[in-house]
Amino acid sequence: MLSGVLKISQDHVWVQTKGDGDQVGISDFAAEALGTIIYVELPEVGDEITKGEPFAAVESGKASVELPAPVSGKVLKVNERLEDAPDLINQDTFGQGWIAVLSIKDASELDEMMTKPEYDLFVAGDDDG
Amino acid sequence: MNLGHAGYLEVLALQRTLVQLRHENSIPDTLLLVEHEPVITLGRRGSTDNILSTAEVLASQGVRIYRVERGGDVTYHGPGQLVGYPIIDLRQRKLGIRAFVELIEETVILTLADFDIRARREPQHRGVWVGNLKVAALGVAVRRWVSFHGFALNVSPRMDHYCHINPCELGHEWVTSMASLLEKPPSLAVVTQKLARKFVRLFPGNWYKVSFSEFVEKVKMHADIAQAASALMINDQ
Repeated sequence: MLSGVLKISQDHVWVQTKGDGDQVGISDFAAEALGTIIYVELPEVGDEITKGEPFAAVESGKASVELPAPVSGKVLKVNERLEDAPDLINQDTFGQGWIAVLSIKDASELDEMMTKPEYDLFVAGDDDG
Repeated sequence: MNLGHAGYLEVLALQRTLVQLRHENSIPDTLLLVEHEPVITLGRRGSTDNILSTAEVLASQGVRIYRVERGGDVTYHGPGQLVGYPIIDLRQRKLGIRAFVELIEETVILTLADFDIRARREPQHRGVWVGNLKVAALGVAVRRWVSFHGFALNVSPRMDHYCHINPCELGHEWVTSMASLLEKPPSLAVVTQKLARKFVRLFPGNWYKVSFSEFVEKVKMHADIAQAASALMINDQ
């Protein structure tokens, strides 16, 4: 299986090409900031999502946070395991904690996203204010 | 901004509009304070199993049910309850979700301290507690890093309305109000004023108090606001 580069948006959502499509999920920094996730509202297979528009929501400690789509595309698959085990996002953020698989409309949108080292610098900078 | 007594759906529409305007940086951080007619709302994961009365019973008592995008399960709003909706850009304030929720709890805890009520938070069960009883409920939503929905502090609501629901899966016997805790219940207006002061202290910035009509005046170039405004005005009559 061919794996592409992990890219992360300023909204803390990651995308990674993994063989059958492009997986999306939330970043380690966001998962840590949210704390234990107790509920995930998944998109539906077939949904057309638009970059910047909410495509899913995660809840932790009475706060429901909408996730802005990092790219535009169509939802091919959703991670139904998160319905029973939403905290997979906390445990294996970039692996089993994936939220959906997309077919990306315009791959050049990935170019605007950050690599993991760039993202780590971005969130570190955010911390310093 | 104190909306006084206002309809749930009208204020919900207003919140959604304000979130968009806040995201666009067209308005500053805003706090809506309001008292609602009796409603039951369900969060995203809210289960109708936690509504204990039948739809007929609720309808006969004028209690409506809405499902909304906030966190949390089921909750009740009604007269005698101070409901606050902070529309805050969390990114501009560099606030994490947890820190934000804690600041809201702190706002309520400090407000209650003004009335000599010693309240506390319970990290496993968000909200504000006095002993084992919950005096304020909390359920927030975040869209494009702008918060909406918020908290509800029981000042002197009709507690029997809580029997319609199983708040936060805990059971209605776990809920209390300032009126139940104090010999002389404070007026909603006084609590509102004190709470606004604590909020401003915990969320520093250039806050000023506006009436809804003043606010509409400032942002009247936005058609959506004008629409939300006319809905609220109608509701006022």
